[in-house]
Amino acid sequence: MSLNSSDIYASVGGVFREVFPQASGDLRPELTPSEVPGWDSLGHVSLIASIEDEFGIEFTPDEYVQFESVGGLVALIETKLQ
Amino acid sequence: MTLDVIDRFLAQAAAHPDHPALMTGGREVNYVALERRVRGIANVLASVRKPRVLIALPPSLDAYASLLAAGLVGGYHTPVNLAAPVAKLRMIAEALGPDVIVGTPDTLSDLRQASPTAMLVNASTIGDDSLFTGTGTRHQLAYTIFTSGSTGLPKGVVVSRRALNHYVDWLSTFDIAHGDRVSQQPNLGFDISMTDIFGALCYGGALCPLERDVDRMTPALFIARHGVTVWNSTPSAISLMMRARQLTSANLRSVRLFNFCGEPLLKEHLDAIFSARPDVRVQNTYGPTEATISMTALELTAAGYEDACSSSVAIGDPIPGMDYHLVGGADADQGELVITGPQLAEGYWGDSEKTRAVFRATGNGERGYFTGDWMEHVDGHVYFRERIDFQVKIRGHRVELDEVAAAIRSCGWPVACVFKRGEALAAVVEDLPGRYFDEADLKRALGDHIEAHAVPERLVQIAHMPRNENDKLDRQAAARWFEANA
Repeated sequence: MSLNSSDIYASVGGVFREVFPQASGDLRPELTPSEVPGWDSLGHVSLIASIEDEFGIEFTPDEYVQFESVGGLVALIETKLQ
Repeated sequence: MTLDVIDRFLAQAAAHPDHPALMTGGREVNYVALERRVRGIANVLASVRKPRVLIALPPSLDAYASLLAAGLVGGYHTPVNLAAPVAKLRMIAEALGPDVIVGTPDTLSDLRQASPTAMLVNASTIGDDSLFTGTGTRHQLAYTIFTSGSTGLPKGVVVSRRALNHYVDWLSTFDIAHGDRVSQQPNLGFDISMTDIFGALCYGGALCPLERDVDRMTPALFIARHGVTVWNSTPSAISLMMRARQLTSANLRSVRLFNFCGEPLLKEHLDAIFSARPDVRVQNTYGPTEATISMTALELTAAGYEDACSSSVAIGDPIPGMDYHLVGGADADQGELVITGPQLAEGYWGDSEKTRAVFRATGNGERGYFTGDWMEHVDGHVYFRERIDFQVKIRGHRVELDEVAAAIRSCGWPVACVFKRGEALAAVVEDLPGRYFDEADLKRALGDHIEAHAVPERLVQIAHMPRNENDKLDRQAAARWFEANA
């Protein structure tokens, strides 16, 4: 079974709210770390660990710093699931 | 006689010119090449007598070479953290009034207005056709490093060569030699970066800076990739490795020594390290910038480390030549830690009042640095309890904020910031994956550990505790977050 973009987006939203419960407002593709309380290096690493669990994928070191927004993360997951 | 760090470096370069000194940008720079770069930059700096050199460069060959070049030509250096806001860097430049700023075109343009009289040197334009020759001269000072001041104005801590040389002499206990690869993780504006730089380059090791964002985000993978043998950082780098699930024996295979400094090391850090590498040497150290990087050491082994763990890991004994004692406590086993010995800084840059307030005579007339750190002596070990500024009175009772944070830790929440709010305490507690947070439950549990007046009135969960640019927990930011969100 393959996930489409909106499935991925919804799953990322769930993970995101779990990792950053104090993020206010709706999840937007253009959301960046500077707008989300707690999205520092430790938060970033935690987000990646939770995404890896959710989707059963593994990020390479370069992919840790490849995305700078929620949209970038979703696009990266799509590529990795293909 | 204690050797100067510059002479130690020159001796290494003379004895082992072909040995690697620095791993940068995917290439190896050997000692002779580094010395050549030092002499190229020194040739430019030498146009100013006893230059006060501000270094505004990312961790790189040119940054390390500039720092050594300043010392070689009889000057001293001030490295800054380029990740800090530009406004803060300008405040530092304005306060310091450097003779020379070595930077990139961008950093020089950021700082130009703040130091109108400084000679601006774009490091990338310095060639190696003209080299400074000879062994140079030595200034009385080694560096001035700016730390965060409580007022928001950075304080410049002025450190003499005598103090730095004493510390670097002690670094011989790291047994660094050719073949060692020494991490360079802290930013250059944080004095524990000097441990890496002088620890490697004065003893013949190779310095391995974490140059890319990805290296800083995944330090355990960096260790594995570069075969790092000596790792030095604040304990928060270990938290990052743990969170990324990368603290494994495979990733850390090459490390023979972990040295920690800069913030309290916790038992869970040691649990994780020793479970991956039971055979590794771990050392906890303590020291304020005002006593030159660190002045205690405690060796920890898998067999006995738990005996040195309380709310944090014990700070250890003073290193040879340095001493400390506790003053102002109800008995001899607790009090403010006062440091004496040759590593004490000269004082604060341009602030004799602040200098007199904390560098003053101890009971026996010796010059001491009053750290503001409250410590306790328990079962043969000294433990950091908290900053004296963090002792507050709640309804007439003296409460130590870190004691409350320690109680929260013993209730199973490892990271918490406690602060006074009105006439009571409040706390922000970091989320723990898979664990449900219930404020009322935690309050009840805390009642078993601390007195009722010390139990915070409100406890609020946060996903990630704010940390400052040096990765230390930022209590003020946590309190601000609480006001905005709770």
